[in-house]
Amino acid sequence: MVLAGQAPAKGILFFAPEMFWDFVLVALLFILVYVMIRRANAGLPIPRIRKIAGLEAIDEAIGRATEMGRPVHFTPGMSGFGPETYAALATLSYVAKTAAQYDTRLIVTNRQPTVHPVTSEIVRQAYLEAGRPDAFNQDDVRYLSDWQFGYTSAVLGIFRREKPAANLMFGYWMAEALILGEAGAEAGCIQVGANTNVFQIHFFIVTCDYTLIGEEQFAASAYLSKEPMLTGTVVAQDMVKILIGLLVLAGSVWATVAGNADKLVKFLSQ
Amino acid sequence: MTAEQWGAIAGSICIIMAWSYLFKESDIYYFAEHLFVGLTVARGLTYTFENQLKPLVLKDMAEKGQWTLVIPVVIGLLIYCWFFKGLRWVARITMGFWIGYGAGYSLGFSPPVYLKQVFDTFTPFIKDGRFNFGGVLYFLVVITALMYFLFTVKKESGVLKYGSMFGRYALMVAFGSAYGSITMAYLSLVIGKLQVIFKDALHLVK
Repeated sequence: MVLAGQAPAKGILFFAPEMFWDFVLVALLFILVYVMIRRANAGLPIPRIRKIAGLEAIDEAIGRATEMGRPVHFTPGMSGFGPETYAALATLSYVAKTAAQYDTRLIVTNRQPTVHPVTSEIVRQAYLEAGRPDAFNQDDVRYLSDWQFGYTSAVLGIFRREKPAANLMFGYWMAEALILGEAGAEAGCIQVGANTNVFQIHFFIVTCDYTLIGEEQFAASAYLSKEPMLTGTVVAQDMVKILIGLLVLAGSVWATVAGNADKLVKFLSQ
Repeated sequence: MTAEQWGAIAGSICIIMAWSYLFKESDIYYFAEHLFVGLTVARGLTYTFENQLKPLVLKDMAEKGQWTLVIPVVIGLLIYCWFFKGLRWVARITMGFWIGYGAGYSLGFSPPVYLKQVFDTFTPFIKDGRFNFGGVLYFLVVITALMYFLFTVKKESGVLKYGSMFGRYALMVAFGSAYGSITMAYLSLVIGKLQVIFKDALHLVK
């Protein structure tokens, strides 16, 4: 009886019934991604990704560090494993490989203890792929502190002591965004910042040379690798964005004609 | 003096040491920085032990008998194989779990906000028989910001080009507004620190 009482209500076992249309939207995204990947694999044409200045600037930043003989600093952000961190890790792979090819020292700092070994493995693998496994230095991939401002203080110390020529800040950022951006600018770094936090991204816009706003960061892996298969996933996401735009238009027209869009909202909430 | 007062004095000294950077970089500042970083690492270790490991072993396992928790504990401990050259590959099992869990968690808990956000943008263009300027502007900003975030659609001319441009400017206005309000909030943090010095430690302010 106790077990029966604790059992979830019918329909809630897999997803909440009022989220049926959310499920349809996500399922549609999955299908579109699958179709686009199949198209890419079949060699069918896939649209190119528009120029994203912040990602173009990564090569420029590493090149500058190489010319100056100073290191590049990269950080995958403050959060644990989540969409922003995955995007940051994909970018790290590219940055590490490029740094290895240019024989430029790369310093990676981590706040999350779980992300730290993953970044280390990514950098190690990138150096291996670049044919320079001997150049990988484990001590340059660092775990600093899991406390937000403890980590920030430690990075400020690295800026001051090791004077990187480039500072690449990807992932998710919070209140430390301004402190790090300002310190990087003061240290004379060329800076590329990426953030999805709308309450903090403006601090990157004012302190960094290039900023990736929100979704731009998620297109990074496809943009940098230029692989048609990855580009296909971005195409699929664009299609869903267009669909959402049309839904916003339909809802607003409905609200204008009927006075409000309650009926449409009710229908889509079941 | 009470422990709180000693704490306020120690805190005030640390604040002044950290702020000495504004005058000049010095050993005082470096000491404050290293002290702070060290303290946060120690705090992290203590916090993890007291709030995660101890309750897990003493409460969940020993008291409640949830011995199945041994499985994630063992998977978690495998990460320490990372320190041994020959066993480094074993640590990748743990990393795989973390990465998979993160992806699953994001996928499972992010979608619920999708349509709710879309519903909030449904706005009538005409309200009470009058042109709803605010609503139309809101609608335009949403649509054009979406245009800006289209990456694979050609935007060299026409509606998409100018819409995308408008969306970018709209984003900048929003960011500017947030910049102002959050900078003000940061200034209030400075006031908080001044309170520690002048109120809690020196008792000059009531």
